Amino acid sequence: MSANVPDPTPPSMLPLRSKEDGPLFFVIAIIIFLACISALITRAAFVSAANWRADLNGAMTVQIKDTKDRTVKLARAEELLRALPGVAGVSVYNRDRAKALLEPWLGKGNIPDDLPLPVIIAVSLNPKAPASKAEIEISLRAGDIRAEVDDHRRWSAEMNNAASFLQVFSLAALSLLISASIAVTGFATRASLAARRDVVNTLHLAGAFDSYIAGQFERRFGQMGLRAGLMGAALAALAVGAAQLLSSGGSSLLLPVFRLDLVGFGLLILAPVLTAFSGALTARLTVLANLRERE
Amino acid sequence: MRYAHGPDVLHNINLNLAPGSFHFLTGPSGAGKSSLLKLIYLAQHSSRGEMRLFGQDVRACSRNQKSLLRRRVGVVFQEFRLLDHLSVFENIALPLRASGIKRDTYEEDVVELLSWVGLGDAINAYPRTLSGGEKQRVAIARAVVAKPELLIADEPTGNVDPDMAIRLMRLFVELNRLGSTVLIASHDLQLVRASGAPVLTINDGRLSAPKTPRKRAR
Repeated sequence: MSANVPDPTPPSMLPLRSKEDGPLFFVIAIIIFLACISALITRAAFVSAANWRADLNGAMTVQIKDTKDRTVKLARAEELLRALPGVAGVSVYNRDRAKALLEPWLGKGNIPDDLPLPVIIAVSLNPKAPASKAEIEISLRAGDIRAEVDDHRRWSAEMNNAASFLQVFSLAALSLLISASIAVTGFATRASLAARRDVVNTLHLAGAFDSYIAGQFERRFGQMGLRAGLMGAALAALAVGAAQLLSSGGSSLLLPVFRLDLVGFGLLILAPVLTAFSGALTARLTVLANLRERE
Repeated sequence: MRYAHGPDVLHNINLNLAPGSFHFLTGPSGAGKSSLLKLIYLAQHSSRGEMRLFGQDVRACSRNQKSLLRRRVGVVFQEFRLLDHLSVFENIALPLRASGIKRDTYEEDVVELLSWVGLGDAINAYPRTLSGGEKQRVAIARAVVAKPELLIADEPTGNVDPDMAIRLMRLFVELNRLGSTVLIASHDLQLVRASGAPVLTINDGRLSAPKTPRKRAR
């Protein structure tokens, strides 16, 4: 390139780096990492809560109270329950299965044969038109079977409360992190604006429209938000992957479990895009407000 | 005019710069020269009174209208105000770029202007590598690149040698001949007298009527 020919690529009107940019990049990346983890926890909380509710609302337990002809009554009850249209499935917990359930606590072979064990039928309800507790009771009474039907209402209420708390808590944490991210970007834009006051003044006095000056900062902070967001999301993906590996992909009955499935990946991809958008918008609004304050 | 909540720095200014006129502005340090220039190039606004620029009432203008007015004014700042991260070429082209003009339409003009101010070889240099005089020439080139209708210069020859000062003055005179209104604040009384142009004097924020000095050979 000759010395008398200008550099063909027009540079950015803003200096490429300022000393405020490095720490800001890492602060945004860390916030996005936390926001991604929080979003995945929120999603897991919603999925778990939905599963808990479906499990509890979609099932009832029938305990046969008759002590005479128990085997006959059990077979009769199973038959009656299967015949009900609102019942999707029936699983009988006879003595052997009941013993198996107790073995983890009492030890194998430690359950005496004369120990009275409850005879239970687990009833899965048809999710579209579930049978009611009253319908099941009426059906069993009609078959001359004395039984207690538990629709898990007591557990359901507690589970609903726990699920709602988990959902509200995780949503609140996510909202706080998103607000923090916006506040940090706004604060950083103001610092950046102060550091680049000479550029803003020169452009302003050269006749640049406010939107042109704001556009310079918008692009810069949008790009930084995207890069920092990508880093934060990548770190979150690594953390979740490591957590999955450590738990060997296992699941817990009650605790929400991270899953990096399609929706999880979607959330991780969305995070940098939203960060870029929020960074660009915050920068734009901050610069426009700052320029308006001058007059 | 006043800065923030401070005292008035300019009092009862009554000034009309006719289109195509050439004036010098002189006065001691702190008299209000730079403040008056700031008022004219719309970096500050008056606390009261009326100000019209190119026939438009500045107070009634929207922000975008003021930006459009600023594009018609070229300013040579006393402290140059070059952007260190931009090359000489980009600094000079800044007003054109900020106005949304495409690079290929101004590239040749900027290169030619650079040669004219004697910086043809410094096209890709950065301001921090330039001397004070070179920076001043870049600042002048940036002020005139958009062929402004009004050219305002605050001590434009303060950092250049006498030959370059004469050369730069010729540039201002040439621009004035082409129709630009020129207002130059200067301490250089020799330069002022040599030009023969009317002189506005400001003292303690008060402007006196223009006087035309007897022209002296420099």
